Amino acid sequence: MVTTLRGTDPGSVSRLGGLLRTTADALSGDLAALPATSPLAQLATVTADQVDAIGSALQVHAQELAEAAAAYSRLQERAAALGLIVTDWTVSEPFGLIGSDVAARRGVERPQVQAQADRLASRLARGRAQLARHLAQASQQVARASAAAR
Amino acid sequence: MPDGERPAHRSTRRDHGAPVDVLAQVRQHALDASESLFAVDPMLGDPLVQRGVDEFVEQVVDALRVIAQLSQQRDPSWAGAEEHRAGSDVQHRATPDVERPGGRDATRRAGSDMDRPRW
Repeated sequence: MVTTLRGTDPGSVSRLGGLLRTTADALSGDLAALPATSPLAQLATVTADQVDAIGSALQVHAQELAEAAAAYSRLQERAAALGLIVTDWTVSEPFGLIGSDVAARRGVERPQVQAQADRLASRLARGRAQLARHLAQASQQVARASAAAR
Repeated sequence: MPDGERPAHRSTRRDHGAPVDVLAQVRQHALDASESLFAVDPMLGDPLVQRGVDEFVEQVVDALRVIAQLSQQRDPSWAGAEEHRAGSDVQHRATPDVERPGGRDATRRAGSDMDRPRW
């Protein structure tokens, strides 16, 4: 069973993205009837464009979160099959007495599973950072457009 | 035309090209969107994304309010009716002719920008 990653909620992110895109759609629908050079039309255009772009980015991010959750589940299954456990992207050996042959095998396999966990965590972090930058830029553009139209 | 009557009252389109119903629609969409965005309080679980989203939504709600204000200002006749109905506290530029020395025509002759399209 695939559960969401701790600290993420793809469903909420996706719903917010959908709400933003609906908002952008309503704003865009009005633009055709407005003179393109007016401050009102320019502000509405910038706002609709940015809201739509962020809505889309949030939906993409929700998809990435869902994919990361599925990948994390597969990673946990792989680790469990090797007698390892994964907690918050860290692969470790469980406590208990084991034979030296098993310990040697885990010693070889644990770094490989950890490397896979690191790649997944890194990809997710890049996606988050990219979305955060996108949000910051969009906020600035909307704020500038509002200030110009006032 | 009787003295003091405004041509704009006879038409749904002012000389700057934006029909009254379009402005009303823009304003309504902006207010509806502003309300719907303000009504949601998304808990996204990720502090980094959460901060960015909160700030973005705040800016968008502000922009939507500016859009609503601008839509109202563009057509005083429509804005007046809307204010009366909604009890809004937004002040628009329309001033009764009787309060202007010489009336609207005198103001126009003096080069006022009261009727100038502000698109």
